Amino acid sequence: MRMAIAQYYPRASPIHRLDPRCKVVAVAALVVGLFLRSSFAALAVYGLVAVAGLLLSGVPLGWVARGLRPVVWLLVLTFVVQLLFAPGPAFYTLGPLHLSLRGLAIAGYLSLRLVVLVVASLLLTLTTPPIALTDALAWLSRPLRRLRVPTEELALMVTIALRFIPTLMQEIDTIMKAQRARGASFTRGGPLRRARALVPVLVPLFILSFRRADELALAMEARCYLPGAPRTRLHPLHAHRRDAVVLVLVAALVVLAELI
Amino acid sequence: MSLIEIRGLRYRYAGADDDALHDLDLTVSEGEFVAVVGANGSGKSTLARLLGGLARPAGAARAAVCGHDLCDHEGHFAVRRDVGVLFQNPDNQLVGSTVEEDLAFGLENLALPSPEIARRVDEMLALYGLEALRTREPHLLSGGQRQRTALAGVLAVPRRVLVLDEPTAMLDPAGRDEVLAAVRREADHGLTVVFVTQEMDEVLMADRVVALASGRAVFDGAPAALFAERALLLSLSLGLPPAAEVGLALMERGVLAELTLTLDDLVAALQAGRP
Ligand SMILES: Nc1ncnc2c1ncn2[C@@H]1O[C@H](COP(=O)(O)OP(=O)(O)O)[C@@H](O)[C@H]1O
Ligand SMILES: [Mg+2]
Repeated sequence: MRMAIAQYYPRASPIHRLDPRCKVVAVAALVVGLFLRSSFAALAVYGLVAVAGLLLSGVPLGWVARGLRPVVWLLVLTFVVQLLFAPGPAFYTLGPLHLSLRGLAIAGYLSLRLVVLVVASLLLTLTTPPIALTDALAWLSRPLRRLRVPTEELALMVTIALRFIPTLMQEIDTIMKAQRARGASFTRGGPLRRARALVPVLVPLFILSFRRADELALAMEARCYLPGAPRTRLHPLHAHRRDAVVLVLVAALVVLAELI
Repeated sequence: MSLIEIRGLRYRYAGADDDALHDLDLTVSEGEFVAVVGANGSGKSTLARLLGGLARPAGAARAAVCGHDLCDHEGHFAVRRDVGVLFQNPDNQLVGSTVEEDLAFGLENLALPSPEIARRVDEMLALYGLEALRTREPHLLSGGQRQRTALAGVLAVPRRVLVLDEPTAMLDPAGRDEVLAAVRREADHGLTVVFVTQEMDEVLMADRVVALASGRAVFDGAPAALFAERALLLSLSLGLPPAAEVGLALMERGVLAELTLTLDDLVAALQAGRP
């Protein structure tokens, strides 16, 4: 069973090797920069950065396209709505519809910005294993510990949730097969009927999950896990000079994009 | 030296109206391999949890495990460091996103320095033949590989006692053999083992067997002695090891003079009786 979310694409590229914290900060800077300034020039700079990153990462373009698929409808919608409803002198009128050059520009700009945004985020998730990403977010949210936010525990929670997604998928598959063998159908009928067919799948899944949570908690305690106690990591995060170089470079490009 | 010394152990689940364990005695010496058998609901898992410090007894005349007092608040936490517990369902024990992350989990919880964790993880990967699966995700492993990973994860933290709670019940025969071989090897290297099981041929791996019924120990002795007590076995709804079932049938037909428990003994007896 394939998952809808863009998955990590393992590879030994310069982008993969970067510290995940550096990647999170760099992508966040690009995203914020994209929203701070609306100009085609700035968009071009950010677009080039994202494309350069993609090429360096060596992730096949087909893989990236697959990651873009979920936003295709949003893209089309953005484009059409802007094109139809943006104000400005019309260059083409058909009944109540009137298309303006300004509308075309805005529609193009907003759609491209969405593409750059998604490609930049994909660059992060395609080149960083989920655990590394969680570790990076936990590290970056460390200041919140002062406000008694249990960031480490939350990060572990997310890691475990991610670990169990494929297991749950396998379980859903097994339960659905069992129900099908008893004559259930998940494809017949309207949406309401199909939704109802899922109830006998979801109920055992929830029951299994509650038992699983109990057993997992016990197994974690048996392996000396104490919430709130200091932990170390097998693979601690290590920042290198290249990470600093990338951050400075990204900062310079953001400043450039905001100025031109 | 006894690593486990328990007298008059009692436990009751919150909200239950009867004790799950009554007045239980259990002594296990260092290096001993003890099997624990009993029908469903006889208290085997409860005992495994208490031994691992995962719950606190309601009371006991004495409850010493690896020098810690199970009844003591500090003691039942401290004992988790020395006693490893492996449960039945490997899926619900693997915490790590990969095999190596999972082996590291216990060591990370002890806050050991990263290079030391890495060294120990490498050691366990080699010992358990999991090197090739180092970065494999748990859901892509076979049942036997999952349970072997879980066992390696439990023992990555150096332990003095290993408690197993029906660790092969969910595995196919090949997976079961993998896990039993690993347990056998750990026992041969001197690890003290308490093996909760419903499989009578697994009982034959043990030096001693303790049988529970309704939270009480009703037998404590050698496996051969337990299998000789047919009435007791029947009352506990326990069977014989597969080879012994065959041996018994042959005995009843007058082919064998006395009951053999293992396949090897059965073959030897048959060959000795051959004209
Ligand atoms: N979480 C629980 N809450 C209440 N009672 C429980 C719980 N777990 C087990 N029991 C009861 O305790 C007794 C012993 O259970 P258990 O130790 O799981 O037996 P076994 O592992 O031998 O099958 C049973 O009567 C069971 O119903
Ligand atoms: Mg049990």
